[in-house]
Amino acid sequence: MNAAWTIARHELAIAYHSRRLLLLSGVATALVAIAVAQGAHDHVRDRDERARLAAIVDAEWHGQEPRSPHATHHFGTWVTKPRTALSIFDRGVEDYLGQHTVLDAHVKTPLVGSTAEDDPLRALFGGFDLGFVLAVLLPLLVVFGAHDAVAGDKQRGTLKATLSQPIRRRSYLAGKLIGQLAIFAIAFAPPLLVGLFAPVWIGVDYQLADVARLLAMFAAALVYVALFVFVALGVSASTHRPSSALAVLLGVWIAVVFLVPRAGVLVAEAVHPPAAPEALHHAQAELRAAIEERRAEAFARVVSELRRDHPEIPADFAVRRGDHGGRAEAGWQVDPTGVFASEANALVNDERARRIAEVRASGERAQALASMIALASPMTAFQRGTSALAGTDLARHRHFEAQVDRFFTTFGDHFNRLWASNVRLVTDVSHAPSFRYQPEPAAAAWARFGRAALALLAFTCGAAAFAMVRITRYDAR
Amino acid sequence: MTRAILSHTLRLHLASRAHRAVTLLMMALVVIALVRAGTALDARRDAMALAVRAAAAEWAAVPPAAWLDAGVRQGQWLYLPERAERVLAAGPQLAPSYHARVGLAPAHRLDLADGAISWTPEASAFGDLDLGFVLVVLAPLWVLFLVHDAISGEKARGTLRIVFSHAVTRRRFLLARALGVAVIVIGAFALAMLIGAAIAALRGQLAGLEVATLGLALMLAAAYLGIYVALGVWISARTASPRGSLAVLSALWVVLTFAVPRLGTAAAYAWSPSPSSLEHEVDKRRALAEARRAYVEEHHPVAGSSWMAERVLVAQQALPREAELDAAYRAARREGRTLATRLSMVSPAGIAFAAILELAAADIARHEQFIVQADDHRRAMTAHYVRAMQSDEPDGRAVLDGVPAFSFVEPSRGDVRRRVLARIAILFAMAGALLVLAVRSFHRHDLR
Repeated sequence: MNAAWTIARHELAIAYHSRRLLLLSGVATALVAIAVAQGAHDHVRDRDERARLAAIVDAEWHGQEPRSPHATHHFGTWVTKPRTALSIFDRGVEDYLGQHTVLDAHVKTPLVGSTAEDDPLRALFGGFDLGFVLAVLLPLLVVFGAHDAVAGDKQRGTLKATLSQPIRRRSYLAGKLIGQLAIFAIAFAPPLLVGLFAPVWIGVDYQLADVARLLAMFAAALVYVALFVFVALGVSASTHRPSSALAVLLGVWIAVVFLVPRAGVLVAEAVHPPAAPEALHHAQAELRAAIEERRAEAFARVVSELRRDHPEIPADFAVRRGDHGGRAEAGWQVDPTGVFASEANALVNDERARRIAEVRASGERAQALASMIALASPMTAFQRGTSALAGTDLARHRHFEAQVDRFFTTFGDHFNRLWASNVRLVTDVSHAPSFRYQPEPAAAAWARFGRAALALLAFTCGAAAFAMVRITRYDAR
Repeated sequence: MTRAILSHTLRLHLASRAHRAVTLLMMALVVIALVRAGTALDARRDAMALAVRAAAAEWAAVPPAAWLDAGVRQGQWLYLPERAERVLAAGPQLAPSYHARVGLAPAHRLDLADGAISWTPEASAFGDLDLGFVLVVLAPLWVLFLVHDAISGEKARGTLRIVFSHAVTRRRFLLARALGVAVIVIGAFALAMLIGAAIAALRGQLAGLEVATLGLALMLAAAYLGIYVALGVWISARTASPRGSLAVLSALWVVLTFAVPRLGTAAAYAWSPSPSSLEHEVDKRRALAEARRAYVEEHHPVAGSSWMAERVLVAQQALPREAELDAAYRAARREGRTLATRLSMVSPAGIAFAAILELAAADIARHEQFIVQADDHRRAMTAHYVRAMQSDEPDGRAVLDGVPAFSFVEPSRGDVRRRVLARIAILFAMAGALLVLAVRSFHRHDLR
């Protein structure tokens, strides 16, 4: 083991004297500074904007003039997805997901206002968050830094001299690994530590749990670096020239970062073609026809009941459903459309939810397959883990959506109850339910991180075995 | 002698197994990207045609008495037509929805149903494997791999001194080397594009694609890849070893392809903060609430009166203010976007992205045109309904049939082509400038 430490110290010394360490530290500091500054800037802007707008929407909700329960229901309420403090560092898939919606009486408008909608160019090029720096750029720096670790020694002729000493190849590999990890830890740890806690100075509220999550993300990054160091050492020990090692490693990096995740999407689309969004419109048109039929039946029933008390109601009123003005002039106290409203709304929303679920299920199958294939890339495993901890993954979004769905029903039930108990005017809306986001249980996020971390560890073990085999068999002459 | 160097360069690349493998991989990616985009385009067009027919049938089935109900609740689906050019690039997928539901109730402004139900969020984060991505992001690395040792390799092997012991100038040598790689990369890329396009065309997926568009895409590819050929020979001439040139060139590729466009966009939005869609929605709701207050003060409607009719009248009163807000919002966003585009254009990747998105009719400006026209259509629809409500005995069927039809007015393709041509010219100029730099740098280089 002493030999391993000696080799590691030697690696570090070479990096120090060749100024590679200085260069790497400069690059790391610049990358982390830019990523954290941008994340913090976006976070503060979003937080302030949401607080300001929530106050406006709240004032309007409470300041509305007395109106019928149905009209109050139509005034609608605003639901916004809260951002997590750690989204500063890892945006995950958050940029591609809707952030808010208005729950209007009949219409559960889907979540809108994603960053992709606001800043399409950013969606196209991608953001520059710490997640991108660690998942995409860090492995590239490892490739640049470690590609000549073995092939370079061979080219310079130092490999023969090293291995002529009583040093096991396993110790040689361990020394190279420790040396490279130390180089990256020295270059990245200071800016990361400053960067990770810098947002505290701008008033981002970190909980103790967030610190634990940050440390776990940090540990995952270290494993991720170790994985690429192993791959670099293995490839370097499979080639005789550093330039060949660099070319092969660049190919590996491209495959891991771009090709495998995208290929997953291609294969998933071919195996389980997801329904086009327009399919929902077609379904919705069919649904309306079905509703129209049931609405006509319910309407005829209500009108026949009304005519018992109001014989002046014309018999053909059933076909004049749109004639609201006439109804108002006649002074009928019962709004036949309103009587049907809750039933129709329930029908529309249930059926729409079922149709959406069908369309979504077709997408979920594709998503599951794409996710599985994407996991063939360690980058995806790393990203899944960090975004689960940062609260910016798809699972947390689904957790939020489920709450919005439940609240939509509660909100609607409240006004339907008022209507059913013959309340004509709502003068105080403070009794109406308001949306309170319940954070996802921490265990769920940690479980997702754990699964991703296991996958990452498995990749790292595989890469270690590959490097070991290649170095053992390497012809050092 | 130039011809000899050129043919030697071609033979060198064709003989290398690694070069052949990487080139075939790149060609396969181009073909896959085009064929896959053609299939997706076909599926989308079918779904859209189905939805358009269903929407028309739905509208025709509205009972005449329910004309007001249909206008307020149901609204109309409007679709941004899918053009065959989209096989070239998918564009920012989730950002613009391809459809709008336009009703008289303001909540129906835009239905981004796909944002909520689509399976794409993670796929969008990964990015698409379309021709735009293959050309702008992946192809440069392939070019750099082929070109990085064009000069430095000869230097490292010691063959450069032998070459210059013959009657050949440095300029000729460098240009012949660059030309050799350019012939290979542009030829292979163009061939792959033609194969991909031919497969898609044979499957009937490219109906409506103009040959001029394909020609411009080929020119764009030639200009863009030409830049990396020139950059490659320049750096190769300045570095002592192939490893050094590959490391420098890969780092430059990362900076030009990822860092500059991403940082440019981030800097632009930080520099010119424009309102978010959330803020814009809240502003519009406030405008509507004010219009409603004004309406209540003027008309004193009683509870249980026709709220649907009220809603149309209130919406009409709010329209001018909404139009103002929309215009201000779009202007602010356009300002940020223009700055972001300009900053990203510091890099050839930014220019090439902008060009291929416009060529593919997948640019943000076209989508914005769609939103503007959809909003205009909503105003026309509201005006139509208000006119109907003001008449004594509106004929429901006539009101429904009289709703103005929506037809998207495409931006002029001639203008698009001119802009793309201008960008291609800039890229060619960049490639030329880099080649001049390479020649000058090589002249001063100590070959010993």
